[in-house]
Amino acid sequence: MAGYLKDASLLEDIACEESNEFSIHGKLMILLALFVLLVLTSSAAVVFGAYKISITDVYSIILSHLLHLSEAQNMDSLKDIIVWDLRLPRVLLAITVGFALSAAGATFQGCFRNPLVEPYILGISSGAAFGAAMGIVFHQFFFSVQAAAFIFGSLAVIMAYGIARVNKETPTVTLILAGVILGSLFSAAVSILKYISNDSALREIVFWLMGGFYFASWSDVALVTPVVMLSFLAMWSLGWKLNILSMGDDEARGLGVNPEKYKLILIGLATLMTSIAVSTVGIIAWVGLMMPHATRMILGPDHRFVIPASAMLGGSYLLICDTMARTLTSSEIPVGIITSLLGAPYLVYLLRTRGKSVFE
Amino acid sequence: MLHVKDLQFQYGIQPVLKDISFQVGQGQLCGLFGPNGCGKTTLFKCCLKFLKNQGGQIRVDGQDIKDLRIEEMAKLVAYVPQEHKPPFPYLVKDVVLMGRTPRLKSLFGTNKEDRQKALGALKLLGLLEIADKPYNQLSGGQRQLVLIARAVAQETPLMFLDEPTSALDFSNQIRIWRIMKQIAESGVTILACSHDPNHVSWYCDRVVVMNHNHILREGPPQEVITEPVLDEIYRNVCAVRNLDEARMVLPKEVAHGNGERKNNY
Repeated sequence: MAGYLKDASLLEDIACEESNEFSIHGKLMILLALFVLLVLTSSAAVVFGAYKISITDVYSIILSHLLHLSEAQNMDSLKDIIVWDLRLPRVLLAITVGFALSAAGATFQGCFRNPLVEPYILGISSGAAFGAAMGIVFHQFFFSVQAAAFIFGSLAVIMAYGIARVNKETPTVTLILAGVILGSLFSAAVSILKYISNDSALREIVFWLMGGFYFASWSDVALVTPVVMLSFLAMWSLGWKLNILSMGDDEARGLGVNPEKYKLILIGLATLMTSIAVSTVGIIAWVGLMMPHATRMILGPDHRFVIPASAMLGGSYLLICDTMARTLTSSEIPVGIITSLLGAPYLVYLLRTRGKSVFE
Repeated sequence: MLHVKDLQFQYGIQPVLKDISFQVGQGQLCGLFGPNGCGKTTLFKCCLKFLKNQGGQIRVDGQDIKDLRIEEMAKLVAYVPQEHKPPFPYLVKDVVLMGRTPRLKSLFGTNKEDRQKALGALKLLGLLEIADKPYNQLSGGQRQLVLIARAVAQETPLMFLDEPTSALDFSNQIRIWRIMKQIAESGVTILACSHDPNHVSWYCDRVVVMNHNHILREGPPQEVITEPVLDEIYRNVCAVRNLDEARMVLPKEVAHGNGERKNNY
């Protein structure tokens, strides 16, 4: 650069010793606190359950599995199954899905420059619902309900992108509208499938749509968690670029960030995470909208911090909701109902207290 | 530094730019002057490669911008838009820090040098007191100052400013022109469009006057901001007077009310 400038010291001269002004110390502490919260909630969640198992038993079971100790001790095999094969995968899956929805929500909001966007905006949920319903109704043709849901969820977004792409550009408004159109199209298709299905299939569809972790297993965790965590890390590493993108397309171009390229990457990652989460546990509402919001109120809009904080907060929140879902009553409440019941008052609170600053 | 040759651009069949040719040398402060809707912003966007020109050639620092990637462009050219409001409450200092993006070395964020440069830019524009305020809650004029600071932090050899003084009070307008002059003297080339003929003639080294999608005149301000030229673009509104050393553009009725004509520009 010095070649261009006769007086290259235009900025050096006046640069002062105040670099502490950009301190990120406080934000790192908040990230750490959220991580501690996540660890505490998961430690508590494995203890709660319809079948009472003492805290010491729970942890000795987990430790013995982690340390590959022989199970020769006086460990009850029923307790072992409940803690290791039912509760633990369920806890891990709830955290993973919370991560996926919240991080994806933050990314969609940043890309679309709108704090009211949620991860289902491009039709993922309706597409996945259609896929799942197809898998349930025509189970003889589909390999698995989950695979069908994943394929149609992703397909909805790809189609929205295809519809919105004109002249090598994808204007945000067109993309969102295309997502809304596809969403309602797939919802209509789900209604058709509900209409023609028999009673047991209908019941299965309705349950799938409400979302829940009833059937969480280690194989789900093994499939979903690595995908979500890898996409999350990739997304996090693009946090600064997402800040620039959220300023607008021309701004991003002026600052050397190709908006088409990076929006495609970020939306792709967010779609992958959301699709795989939704196809495994069904549609869980509100988390992806609320968590990024709450995070911005805690530590500001910088996506380098919003993405991890929102993910960890979402993991804790969904875990708490799911623990309530399986312990509040003797039978299970679908977790989607709890996230909505807790979420709506929260948004009302936001509207009433700081509506202007958050929604303007 | 900036060479524009035979530039053509049209939206659909509506021509916006016809045969635009001009150049700006290194370290010059060049004003772009012309009535509303004459194509100034479109010209900027073509030079920044936000829009693709249909004909002609634009070269920045000897390189055809057709061959430059977005990342490379951002190291050569900084842009200050006319008005901009982001949806999220980024702090002023963070917005200025975003100007360092084209030069970031690490994937994750900024290093100490970047933060110092951003602070330097904040200080140059006198924004240190509001550095910790949310950018989207500032007035339009303050936002303009922040965006100029961001462009300064970007440290490019060429800077485009789209009506940088449009939302500012008189003292801030003059301050911005002085700062632009100072930046130009440090070797940066500046192209700024403005609607005030006085500002342009007082501060610019060179003026490009546009009218109806083409360039009407180009040259030093005393040769270009003249009554015939102003009459052509504004239709008999302005008179030009010399007040001691300074040149003043006045509305005709004000000029006639204030004594005799000294010069027939």
